[in-house]
Amino acid sequence: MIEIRSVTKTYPPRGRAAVPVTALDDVSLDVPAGQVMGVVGPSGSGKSTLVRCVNLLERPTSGTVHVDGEDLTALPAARLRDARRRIGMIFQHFNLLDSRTAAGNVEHPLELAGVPGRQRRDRAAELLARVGLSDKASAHPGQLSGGQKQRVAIARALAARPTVLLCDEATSALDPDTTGQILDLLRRLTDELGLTTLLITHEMDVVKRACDRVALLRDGRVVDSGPLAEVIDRPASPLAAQLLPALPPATPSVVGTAVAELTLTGDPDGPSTVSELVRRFDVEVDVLAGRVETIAGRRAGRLQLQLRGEQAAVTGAVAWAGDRETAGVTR
Amino acid sequence: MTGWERLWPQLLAATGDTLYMVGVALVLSVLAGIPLGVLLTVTAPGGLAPHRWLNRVLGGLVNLGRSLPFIILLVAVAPLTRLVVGTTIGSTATIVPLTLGAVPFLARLVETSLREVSPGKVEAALAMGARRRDVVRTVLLPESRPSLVAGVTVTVVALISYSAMAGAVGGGGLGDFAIRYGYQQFRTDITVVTVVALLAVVQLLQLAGDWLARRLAHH
Repeated sequence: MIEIRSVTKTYPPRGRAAVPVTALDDVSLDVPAGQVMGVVGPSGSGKSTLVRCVNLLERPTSGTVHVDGEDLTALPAARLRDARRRIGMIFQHFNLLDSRTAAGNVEHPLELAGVPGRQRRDRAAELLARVGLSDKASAHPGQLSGGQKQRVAIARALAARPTVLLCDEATSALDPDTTGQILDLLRRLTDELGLTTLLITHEMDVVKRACDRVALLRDGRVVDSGPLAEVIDRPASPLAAQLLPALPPATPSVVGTAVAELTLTGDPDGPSTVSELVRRFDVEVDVLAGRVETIAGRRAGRLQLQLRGEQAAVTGAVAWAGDRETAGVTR
Repeated sequence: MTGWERLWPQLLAATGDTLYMVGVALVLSVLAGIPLGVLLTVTAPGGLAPHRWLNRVLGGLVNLGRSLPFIILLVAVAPLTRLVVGTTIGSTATIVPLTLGAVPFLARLVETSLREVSPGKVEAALAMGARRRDVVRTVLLPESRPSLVAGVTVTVVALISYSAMAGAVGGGGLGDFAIRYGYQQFRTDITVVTVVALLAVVQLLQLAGDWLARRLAHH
């Protein structure tokens, strides 16, 4: 469990006439145990600083960080090092040691923790098997693909049996297929090991695929956050706008018709919104554009419908669509 | 051109002297230069253990050693040499200025090598709970090993060239041989042979260094 409380990080001014830079401004976030929290935001929004404040690679200027109930910001250096061993971290550029084999890299944190050689080797073999790289144990990073390197890095991050995993843009250097595989692996390991995961990314697809919760960071502040399922139920929220981007505006192609925009956030077994629209109003419906996907196990999307029929029915239907979905845009 | 049957053993002995001076000076330089290079790196601003004045003092000493022409250093440290070795003549005496000349040289090369290790690797180790000395021991030094070997190789070659210069002031070795027999007795053939011997030694050491650096590089 990670609890970030009112964390502010200010960098002193560099050079003459410069002003202090505020990277994080009063950020509070909770990641409940066993969940994956995605933090998204444009570059320069403070995401990387935030994840580094969790294991105190960056020390917050003010505020506290609790991991599993322990206030890391209050720990003396030696205890902080112990605490860091319980927090795994993976990086965009993997940061593996080129001088060591894959197995040697996985053993590194165990070596630092003083685990005897035999146990280290067994644990490294076990973890490499877990990430599907048993056959690459004696390969050096230079001989591995990007996805394989990140798998080794994941095995390394988990070697000392952490309870928390930090991912700093862990898939940003990978191609889409590999990204999917790594995210599925992270999701599976989080569930199997009961990890609490904080994942920093600039890609919404990463959030859709792997996260339970999401927070949006902008200029060092959390502007929106919540469980994924809740966020998409608020179509007008800044996060929903990014998870389900609005469709480009359309104009009716036929005189006497209107365009209704419908946001679908219902659960997959519930009543069909489109059917209901047709039942309630005597209109013909054509789909002009649409984007529907499954997010957090729920059907979510936006549809642009062209409605034809009696003027009153069309107006009523457009209004109904607008009322029903808070952000249902009508034209 | 006569006297070669008498000169060959002397040339061989001079080569042995050069290897002895350079060898001992190299071991001492590595023992002092690598820790000094590590200190320069970690005390630098933004380093693992930033320490402004220590960094400036060490940097200043290194710059002093680096900017002094070796022939001047050779003469300047003569009192120290006499104190340590008891004499300023001969190959053992030459080891003192050789080492003093090579330590700052190697320290700068070591610093450059360590700086090339990506900060991300250091960050990853710190995130694993590494102490600073763990970072030096398990990340900085192993990751820069190929580059350190290259630096040591360059230092060996510099030492050979320094040692030849020391010959000018009675330092023994190949330089001494070339000056006494080749230069002072106008025996160009001896000078040429000495140059060839020096070239062979340098070439062999460079090849060995390159080979080792290549073997250590895994990327």
